[in-house]
Amino acid sequence: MSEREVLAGELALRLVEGEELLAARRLLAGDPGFAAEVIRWEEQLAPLFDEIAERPLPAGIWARIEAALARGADPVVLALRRQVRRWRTATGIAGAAAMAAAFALLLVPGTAPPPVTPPIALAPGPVLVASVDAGTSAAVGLAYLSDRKELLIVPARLAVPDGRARQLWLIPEGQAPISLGLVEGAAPQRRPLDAALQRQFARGATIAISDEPSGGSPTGQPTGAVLGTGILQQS
Amino acid sequence: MQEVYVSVWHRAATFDPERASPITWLATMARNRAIDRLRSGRRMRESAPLDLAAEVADERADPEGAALASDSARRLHGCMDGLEGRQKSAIRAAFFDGLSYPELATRGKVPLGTMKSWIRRGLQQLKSCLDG
Repeated sequence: MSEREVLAGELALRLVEGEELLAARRLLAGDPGFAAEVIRWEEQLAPLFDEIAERPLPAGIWARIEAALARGADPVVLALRRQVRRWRTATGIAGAAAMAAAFALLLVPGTAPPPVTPPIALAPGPVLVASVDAGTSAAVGLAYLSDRKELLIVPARLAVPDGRARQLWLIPEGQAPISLGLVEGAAPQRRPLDAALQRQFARGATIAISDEPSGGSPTGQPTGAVLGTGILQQS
Repeated sequence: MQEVYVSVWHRAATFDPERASPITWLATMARNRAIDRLRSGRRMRESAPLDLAAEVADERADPEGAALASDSARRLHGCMDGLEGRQKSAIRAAFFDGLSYPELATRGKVPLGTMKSWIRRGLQQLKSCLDG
């Protein structure tokens, strides 16, 4: 009985929190053996679910689910939209830093907001947002601020195994993926976008995150597994 | 509920075929999502102190039915029953109430370190029984 098997059990039960949880998730992302142990615990504990009494589904839930899928609605994105609307109506407090902090709070419950970067005014031009949920290995919030010609990347949760990297891609409808660079660290990043890239940002385009060798894809196209995707939506 | 289904839809591609059952995957994801939500809105709930051994009752409605359940269920229940009362209760509270170590320690009115070592010993014993 190894320490690691106990940790796998702790993670399956979600006993651990904070730093310990982040460390366990890093291990989960980088170590297939550990990931298999967590799955084994989950399967072994699963009969407990049978003890939970069945309850009828709320009326109309299927219709709501279908409507949500049709909108491409993700609860994170919906919350972000509300947030952006509020920032726009408020004066003085608008800023990418506030947005970044809220992103992180939305995506990773219970963690401290990221370090605050100097605030920038949120201009009233179009803002597109997306959230990419790659399960335990990454959750990344992304906002395209058209007036500032900038991309705001908020790595809310990121577990990168040694020797690997996480790369973001923009996939305009019907086109090949375009690299948006690597996602690293915990701090929100602002990236200027050139005119050619700006033109590719449009509602409905897909944002993806892939597993790549350290330093990023050598080919300019995703070479590893796509870990998660999100859709760019009007804020 | 709706949130879990929408999220399953978006993440169906990440289903790991090594898993025995998509239902388990779904239930596990629902549980994790519920815990995330619970913890994100958490004000450390000032709940009444909990006598772990007594409070978390064994909710198996139908012991006869459980006996007929699959091998894995029988095995799990057998192994859980082999645990010391407070270990079993703490593990059940973690599973059903989504409680973390600090929450279990607060509710059980024991130091965090004590709670951790109870549960770790419980998990070790459970694992060797389940895999044995």
